Amino acid sequence: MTDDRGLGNRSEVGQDSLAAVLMTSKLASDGVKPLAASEYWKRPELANKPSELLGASSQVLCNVHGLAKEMADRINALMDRSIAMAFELDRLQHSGIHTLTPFDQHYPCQFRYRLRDKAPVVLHAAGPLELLDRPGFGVVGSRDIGVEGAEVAKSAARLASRMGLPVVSGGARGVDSLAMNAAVNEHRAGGSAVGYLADSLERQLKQPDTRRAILDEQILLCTPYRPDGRFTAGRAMGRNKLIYAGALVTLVVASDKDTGGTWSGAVEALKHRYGPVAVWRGPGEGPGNEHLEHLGATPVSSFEVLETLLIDVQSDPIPTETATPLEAQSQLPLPLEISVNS
Amino acid sequence: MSNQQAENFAAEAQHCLQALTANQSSAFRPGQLEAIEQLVLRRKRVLLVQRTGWGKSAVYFITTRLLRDRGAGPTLLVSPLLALMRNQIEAAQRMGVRAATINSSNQEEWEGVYAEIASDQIDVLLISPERLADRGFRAEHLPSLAQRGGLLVVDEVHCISDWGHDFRPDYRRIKGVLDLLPQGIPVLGCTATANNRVVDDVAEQLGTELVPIRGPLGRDGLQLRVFAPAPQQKRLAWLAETIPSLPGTGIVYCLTVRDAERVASWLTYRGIDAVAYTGDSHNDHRLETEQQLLSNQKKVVAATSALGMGFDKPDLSFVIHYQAPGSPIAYYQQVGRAGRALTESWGILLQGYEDADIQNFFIDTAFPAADQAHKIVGLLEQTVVPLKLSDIEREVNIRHSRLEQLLKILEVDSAVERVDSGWQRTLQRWSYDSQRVEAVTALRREEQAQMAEYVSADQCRMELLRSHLDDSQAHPCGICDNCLSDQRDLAASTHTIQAAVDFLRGTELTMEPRKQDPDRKKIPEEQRCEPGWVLALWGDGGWGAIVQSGKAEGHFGDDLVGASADLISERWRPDPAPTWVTHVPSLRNPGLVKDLARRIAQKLALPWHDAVAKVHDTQPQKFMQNSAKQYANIEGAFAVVPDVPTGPVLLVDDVVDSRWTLTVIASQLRRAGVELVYPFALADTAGRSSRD
Ligand SMILES: [Zn+2]
Repeated sequence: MTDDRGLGNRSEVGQDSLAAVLMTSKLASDGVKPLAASEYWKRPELANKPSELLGASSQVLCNVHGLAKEMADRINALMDRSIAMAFELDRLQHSGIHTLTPFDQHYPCQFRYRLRDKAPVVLHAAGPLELLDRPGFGVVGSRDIGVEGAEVAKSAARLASRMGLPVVSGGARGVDSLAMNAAVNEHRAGGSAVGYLADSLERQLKQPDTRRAILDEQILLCTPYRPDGRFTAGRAMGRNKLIYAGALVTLVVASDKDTGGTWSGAVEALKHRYGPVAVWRGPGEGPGNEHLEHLGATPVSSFEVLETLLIDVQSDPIPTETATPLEAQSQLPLPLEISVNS
Repeated sequence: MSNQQAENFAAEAQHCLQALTANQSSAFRPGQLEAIEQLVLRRKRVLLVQRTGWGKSAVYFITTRLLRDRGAGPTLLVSPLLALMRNQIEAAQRMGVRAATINSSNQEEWEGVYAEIASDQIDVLLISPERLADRGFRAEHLPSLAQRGGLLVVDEVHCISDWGHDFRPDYRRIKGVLDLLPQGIPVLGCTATANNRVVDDVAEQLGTELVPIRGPLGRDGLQLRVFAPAPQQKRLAWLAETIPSLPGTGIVYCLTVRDAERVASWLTYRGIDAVAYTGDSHNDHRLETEQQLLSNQKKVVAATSALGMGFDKPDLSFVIHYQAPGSPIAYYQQVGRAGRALTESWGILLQGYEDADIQNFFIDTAFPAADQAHKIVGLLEQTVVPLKLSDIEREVNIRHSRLEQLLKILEVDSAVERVDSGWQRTLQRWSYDSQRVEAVTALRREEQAQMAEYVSADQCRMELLRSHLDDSQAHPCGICDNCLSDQRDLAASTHTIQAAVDFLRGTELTMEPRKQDPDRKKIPEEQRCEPGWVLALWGDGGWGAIVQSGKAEGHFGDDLVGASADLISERWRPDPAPTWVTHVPSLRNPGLVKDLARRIAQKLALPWHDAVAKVHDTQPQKFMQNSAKQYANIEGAFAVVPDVPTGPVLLVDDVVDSRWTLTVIASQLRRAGVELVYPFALADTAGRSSRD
């Protein structure tokens, strides 16, 4: 018995999913440029019912689906990858890497809602997909963290675990791994973690500790990039979006000011409203924390405050209806104002 | 599509066919044009169930041509054939279809093929299922090779059905791929052996839109015969007397590797140009044998089911079964290799008393028992890091070859996977699917009963086989033994039967000394034994059966002692000769082997010494399934008595299995100063049943 998967030719949804992968995935893409997420989302004629484009000639894509000639040829060439793509998806599946699109049950529905045209069309994930079904508690911070900051990251993760929330982070050194490990170590409380990777998922899956935690169904690792890809600064930023968008609220434990991935990720999340941002204002904080508070992040000065915050965000969940491409056209207001009753 | 369009398309396809066959008047067989239309015009998934030689390659070559003319990428053809037949490639070239092959034996050509694919010079790329199951190949090479694939063809597609008689693990991955292939990509599955159940199973894998195209599976001119069970010597004698009188070349199918090797050496000994072909044979040897058979350099190949998929010789004139296979479908598949392009050919089934035991063994070992599966998966889950086969062997008490087989089954189940450094638990959820195991096992039992029905039936043999394949057009063939009311006994001259008995008695086997202990640590040269000899295979028709009953009665007769002494002094003649005899001691039955060794020594006029003592009792070796456990069980169980003679010694045992006991005692004797140790045993039970 193997895992269920949404992707596949068994169902209409599975066909839509496959078509979306064919248009946007960078797998098996020698010589043809896959669509960027924004190119895909901006065209409802692609994103609404992609399976209708399967097997269509360039001519049909122009005349029936109303695509420009150049785009029609490109889509046609991308769809020509079907056989190679099926082999690639099967290979990933075999090594435990699932492929998800917005048509799949486990694709985090708030991505489309919060990230709009930047929402990834394809996600690769290893681990219990159920962990993607509900938003968790984001914990981020710099790679080089002091003793006090480390304690904050770990305690925050433990608190979330005991409250039944998965810890969402980036799987990098420092705060990320401290928080995720702390959650996994809370196994008696059912602690779990979701890691959005900027680094190679395939390489991460070679680590014995990672395999152990996945087999114990405690962590899920996810990436919008090729699973064999390498870390780049651009990827790190792209991945940061997913953490903020994938969490009920994300706590910035320690950040530099005006520099570093943590800082720019948090500033971007606040500016584009990717998801609610909270910032640690206590022993162990970084030089940028105060400024993030000024930029609109909710200050958290103690674990009592954090607990109240977590109770509040859970009782006021984000809308969960599936974000279809049509909804994307009407951008809904985001519930970013969080009142803390302290 | 209008009538005019349909006509135009038919004419276009017809034109291709004529180019392919280089014949202006060739016409499509029923089903061929329909398949091509479904694939090219409707981009459907088509399942062709047609007898071998019907013309499936014409369908995929012409489809390729027509799809390519419509702008599609090249065809990916998954086939166990190691290479396309030269005449097929030439035919395809006549209509401008260029083919290339990627398999493990032509690695030096891959670079060229990549370049040709990149520059769109290839129309059909043939890849073996075994390549597709290879991790590295899948990750590094396949994505660019399959880049623009326009048509996927899966040959021998019945192998993806785990209900089928011929499920192949490598095909399991193709099943996953088909599931991930969207509609609108044409897929062609081909098979010559599939009944409704397998068709349904394949249809489920290929998707509900599947268009099955089935033709009649009858084989004109194939004369089926069945003989009642007979002992081995009689069957061997019959083969030796009958094969030279049969025209052309053929195959003798056996159920086990040992039987295939024995039949080949017997026929060779009788002056017939024969060779063995088994899963144990080296790949080069197998290719060479196939070539020899194809070019009629060998009269006959004695083969296991390993000679099957991908072997194609239209003028093979006979297929004889030395033992009965366990299912009528498997039988049809093998016997159907005979006489595809001949007006007259033979399919003859002999039966042995051992057949049911061997069939049962295959059925019982097809799946790991639940506890074995849990043990292996649990171990790998616990360690997380990949383990080597020998490490797993040490932890779970399962024999090496069996363990390897079980790991492959669990790999198919996606529970474990092979990586560079060994085996590891996959990241997939897994549970033991006892329902499936039970269902498949019950089906195998049913097939076994159907086979029993086939051999005892008085109805037409071909009709019966075809009806097992759910061929709706099955009818009496008029040329089988039942249709002709021509049942005969297996007849052979007394003289040849006696020769076969002598041959079976003479087919003693040699034992190679073990050079490594179970930890793969080298056993030093000066502690090893010499190559030894075994009189017989446990329970076989020569001495084997006599050894078996002797062991049961607790006494070995003088005939065995005489045969052993003859073997040692006449045929083996170890040099330098042994100067004394000793034996492997046992606490459970101390007299039996001691008595045997003493009598052999007497017969050889050599002194006998009770040189080895058993210090503590061990569990019988047959309950200890693997090397590491066996070795641990033996080490320290024996001690050499003081002051043993130092000349070369003959070390006698009754029945050997793992050879670990002999290895350990020999090493202790050598350390006690004995110059050379020659092991000898009456019978060998190891690997009694291995299929290919
Ligand atoms: Zn008949």
